[in-house]
Amino acid sequence: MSQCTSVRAPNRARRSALRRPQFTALGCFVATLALAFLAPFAHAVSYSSDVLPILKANCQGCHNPADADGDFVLTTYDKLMVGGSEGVAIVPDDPDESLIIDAVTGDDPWMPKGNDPLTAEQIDLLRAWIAEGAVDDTPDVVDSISALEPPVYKAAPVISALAYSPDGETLAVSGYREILLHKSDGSELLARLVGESHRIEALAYSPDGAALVAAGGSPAQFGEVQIWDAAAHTLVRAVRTTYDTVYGVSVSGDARLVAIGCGDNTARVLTTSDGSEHIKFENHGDWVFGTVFSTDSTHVVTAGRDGALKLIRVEDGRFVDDINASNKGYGGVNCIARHPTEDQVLSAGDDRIPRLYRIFRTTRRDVGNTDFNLIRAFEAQNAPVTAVAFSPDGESVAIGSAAGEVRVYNVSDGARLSTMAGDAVGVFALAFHPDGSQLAAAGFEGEVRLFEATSGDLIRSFTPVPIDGAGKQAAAPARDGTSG
Amino acid sequence: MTPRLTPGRVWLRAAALLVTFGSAAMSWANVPNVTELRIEPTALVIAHERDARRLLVSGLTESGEWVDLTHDAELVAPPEALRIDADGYVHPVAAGKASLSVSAGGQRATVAVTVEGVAPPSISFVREVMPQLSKLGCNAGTCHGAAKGKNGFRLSLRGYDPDSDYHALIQDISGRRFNRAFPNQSLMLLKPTADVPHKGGQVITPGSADYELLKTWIEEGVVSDVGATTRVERLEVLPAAVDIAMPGMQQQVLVLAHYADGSTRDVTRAAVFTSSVLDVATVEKGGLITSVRRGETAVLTRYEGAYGTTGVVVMGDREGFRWQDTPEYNYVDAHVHDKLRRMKIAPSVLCTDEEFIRRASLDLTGLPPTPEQVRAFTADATPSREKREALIDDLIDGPEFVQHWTHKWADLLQCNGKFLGEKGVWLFRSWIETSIAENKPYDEFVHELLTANGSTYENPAANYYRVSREYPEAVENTTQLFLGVRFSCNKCHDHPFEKWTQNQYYELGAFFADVGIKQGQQPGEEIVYTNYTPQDVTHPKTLETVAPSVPYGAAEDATSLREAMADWVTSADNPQFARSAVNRLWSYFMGIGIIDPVDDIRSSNPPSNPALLDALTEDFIASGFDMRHVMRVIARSRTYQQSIKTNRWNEDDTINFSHATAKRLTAEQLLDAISVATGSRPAFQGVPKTFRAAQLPDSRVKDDGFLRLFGRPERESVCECERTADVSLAHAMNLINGPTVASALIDPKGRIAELVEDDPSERALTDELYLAALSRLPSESEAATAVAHLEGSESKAEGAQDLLWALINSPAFLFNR
Repeated sequence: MSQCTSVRAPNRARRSALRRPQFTALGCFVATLALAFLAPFAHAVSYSSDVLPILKANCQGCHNPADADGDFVLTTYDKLMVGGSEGVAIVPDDPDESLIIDAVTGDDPWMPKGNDPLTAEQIDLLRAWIAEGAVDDTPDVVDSISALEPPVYKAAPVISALAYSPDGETLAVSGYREILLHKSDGSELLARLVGESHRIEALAYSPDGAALVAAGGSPAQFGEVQIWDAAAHTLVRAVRTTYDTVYGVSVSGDARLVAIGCGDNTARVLTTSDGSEHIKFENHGDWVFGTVFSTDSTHVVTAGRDGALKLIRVEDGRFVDDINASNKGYGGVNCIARHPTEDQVLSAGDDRIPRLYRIFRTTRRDVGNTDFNLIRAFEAQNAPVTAVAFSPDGESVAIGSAAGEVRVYNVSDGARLSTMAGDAVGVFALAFHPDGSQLAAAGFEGEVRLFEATSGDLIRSFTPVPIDGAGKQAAAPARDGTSG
Repeated sequence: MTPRLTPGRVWLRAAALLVTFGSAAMSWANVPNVTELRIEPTALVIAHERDARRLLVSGLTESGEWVDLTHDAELVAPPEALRIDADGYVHPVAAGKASLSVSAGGQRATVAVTVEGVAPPSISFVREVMPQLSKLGCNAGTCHGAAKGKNGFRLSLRGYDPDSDYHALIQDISGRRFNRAFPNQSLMLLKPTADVPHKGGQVITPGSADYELLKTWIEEGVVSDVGATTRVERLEVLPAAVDIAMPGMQQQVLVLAHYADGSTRDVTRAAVFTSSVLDVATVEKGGLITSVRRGETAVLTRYEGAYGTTGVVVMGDREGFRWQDTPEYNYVDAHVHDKLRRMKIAPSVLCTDEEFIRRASLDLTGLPPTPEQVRAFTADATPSREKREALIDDLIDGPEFVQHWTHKWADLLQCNGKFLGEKGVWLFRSWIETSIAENKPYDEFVHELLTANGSTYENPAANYYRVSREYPEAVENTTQLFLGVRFSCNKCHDHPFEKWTQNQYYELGAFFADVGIKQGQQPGEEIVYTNYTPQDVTHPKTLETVAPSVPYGAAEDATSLREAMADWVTSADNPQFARSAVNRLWSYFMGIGIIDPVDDIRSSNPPSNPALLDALTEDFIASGFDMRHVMRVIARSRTYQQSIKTNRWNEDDTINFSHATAKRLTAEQLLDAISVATGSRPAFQGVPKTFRAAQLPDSRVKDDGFLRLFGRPERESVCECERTADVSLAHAMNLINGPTVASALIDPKGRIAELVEDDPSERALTDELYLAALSRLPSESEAATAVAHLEGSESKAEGAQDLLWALINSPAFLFNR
């Protein structure tokens, strides 16, 4: 027994021995034999516990809904059974006729492409499962998180989105699987809007304040737009779109449409009344992080990691113009914000320089792609810019960076008005109170900081989520601050 | 299947319940009995739970060789103090001192282990998380380390930039990749476990130590210690040198990372290993070297931007080898023979005088000898060694020597009309020629190039900066040309296989910031000047101005930035300058550098004979950077004068200079050799009719396409690799069937036309053509075949053309051997 590890067992058998501790009591030799010859046939092979792990580790990277090589998706049982462009992959009861077995078997199997072949044991498991009828035994998973049992936090999650209600009463804050509604002075947690998206990437109220719209999703799984009744705290509609989180939500003036940016390099405009897709815009070269509607909502501006600011006509989704000279090496745009009353858009990102553009061109493009729409380039920040916001009067802008600092600038002359120390690592969200008096900032640390907008003094800072089941009603104790 | 310990056993019984460990690397049956065990390190100090350590165990066999027993050793330790895992790593169980017993090959030894503590400190991003990203391959060039990352997630290539990687993991897209509140839901765990679709597949098993490390780091708050914690300072790889007796045998290596604070970690399982010659030995993850055949290789160990190189010698079966004392003409032979003796290789015999004159002439002057020269040399009754030395001196003193080496330097310095204009090319070449003719010391030659100012028409050395106009080219060309190192990789990121950093690239670049170039008065003239208000060199990442600094050593103050840089480059104290130059020269004579490729010197490309390279370097410096001196030393060595014929004991040697190596004639040598053989001058456009191929000033001078086909460089790169010397079907077809050889053979003013005019005997004609083409007389059987062909030919001229055509198409002509 004690010499067990000295037996020259083939790697495969040793690995399987580790996976199946029930055999450790047997002699190694017997265990090896048992695993190699008996294990696959000793029990019914389970789809969820035997087959799915093999598919996840070896196949799903290239056969998933976002990237379906050979039009074959095997992230769900149903899709797996449908097969792909090569035909049906699995013929229940008949492994020899099943394409998936053919693909992974042989001296030089064509799958998994570019990776190590499956082990003989893995192939045996697949064969045995098919031979036994290829049954789906996926257990029904009960979601442990719901409105009645909201998430219990051991630590504060990062805050990626903030929005004030138009009446200035409420501050919506992103959480994990939820949106937390706080009184705008941070004194009270009003409601927790629990949904399915792990992350809420952006929040926006409809202009009349009736709806709160969230863009988010679960990374590498799905994107989702949630439309909440802001007063009743009920989910009106959740629209799944793309296979990753979605970003930069904005709402049209009549609240009829919402625009989002997506990780599949598209921007989309959805109809709020039924969730249908009105526009799918595919002119970006990288992930799209921001959208804003023009003042009259006839156009939408999108921006993303390709550095481009694109102008799109809402009516038919037609590309109208490149607003900035993105070929100038400005780097990716992380965030945009529109002037409250003018057709001007502030964009900023990796090159640290926030730039204010007019949305509609007044000077024709030239060969050199001169940045003609540029109204003003602000001072370079000391790290990539991760959040921007326009003050309600349009006279100042707030810029938050990955260095954790928030700076407020005067729009008319670009002068810095105030500097606010914030998150040690990064500011991910900024919002001005509708009356312009206060600025909310949050990010890496999971704290909301409320600043006096003109002086930059810290008014209050609080953790928006209850920590470690401290209670559904009360947020963590707020800390009053007197200085930035 | 590590046997589980049952807690609560009494200590007295512990001996019977020892934690034992054996391994899969070698079966018990093969473990030889040894007379002595050697264990490295000799004692272990374990700081905490995550500080697992392993021992290297070697045994001395009865035949006197050390063999690796690491994977066969049985480690036994008191279970209340230590735990041994399946890989043979020692983990702490409780603080204190313990004794570890090691048994292998019938011997037993003990190792003292001190456990300083068990509770681990919080996880270090720099020292633990970053290495894990490298170990798992996340930051590899084919994955997220690609210039644009993968699928929206970008890491620095092999983790050279921890700060930006921290940003990518933690800040990018509002902290999308980690979840402090629900760590299991972190994308940086869901992806590598393939719990969500991951193109890279499953690289972490949930619940594994790798998984727990990342998860714990997230739970602890994804703290960055970038800036506060230093990366590894150096690597120690044990054993320092690996000697493996027979192919198939293995050797485990141990990698210890040393940090600036004096602490160490065993990083063997996280280090990345590569073997430079895979058919000699392979090395697998975890540092197990498996020898494949007799030979030498180097195992490069890489861990977090630190590098270690371990020489590996696989001796193989040399039963019956006896070293025969072989004459040593100079120190070159002493060092070469030293290595041969160690590797149990017998050097070849000397080449013949005929072989020598062809070889030395081609190597020193680029031209084969004429029949008259061969006759005179072989007829000379002076002892061979003496007359060879005299010939070397004659060749070095001749004008062809100057032409040949001028041409070589014109290649490397990119004497190309595209950059320099027609007049510029002639003037620059002429400057090189003058320098070679007066045997300008190499350090002065380079110093003049690097500091050249003024009109490119008046001081042609300034053309250096017309080729290297911007500082990136100046950095890359200067380092590759004069230091033999490549800086092009670290323009965009730290060098992936070397210590060079991105910062060093721009710091060196800052020395070239004061190079100004303006138009001169005459057409095509440019003025290089020192711009005392230099253009700042800015670092692409920090966007800050970079101050000039050299990548190693120190630059002294001088009148200008460039003077300071040139002083540093050409200093006798610069370990790379003289060394890279002699290595380059050596390769021109021996066909392969002591370090090869010669302009890619890095720790993963170690010299095959360090002592020889050191000796040549010292001699070169002592001679006052006299290039002719070094060439003379090399050419006079017995090593250079060896035959190409191999013997039983050196037939598989390709790197230890135990026999001569055939070198295909360069394009220019070949064309000029055809010209010598046929007596027909090739036609070039725009140069005097008397010019040989080696005299052409510009790579753009046109011939009938022959030079380009045979690998004349375009002179657009400083890389030696720009010149090719391969042999392909196109080459063979050209020589067999192409216009160059055909027209040279029938040239009415050529050698054959001249020879047949006197109606020589078939045998005399044969001898003459052999001498002209191969620099030797035919053997009797060769002569008989040739004479028979000449006799059967319609005319002597036609028969002679056939014979010379056949000789030109023989390997003896195509190669310098």
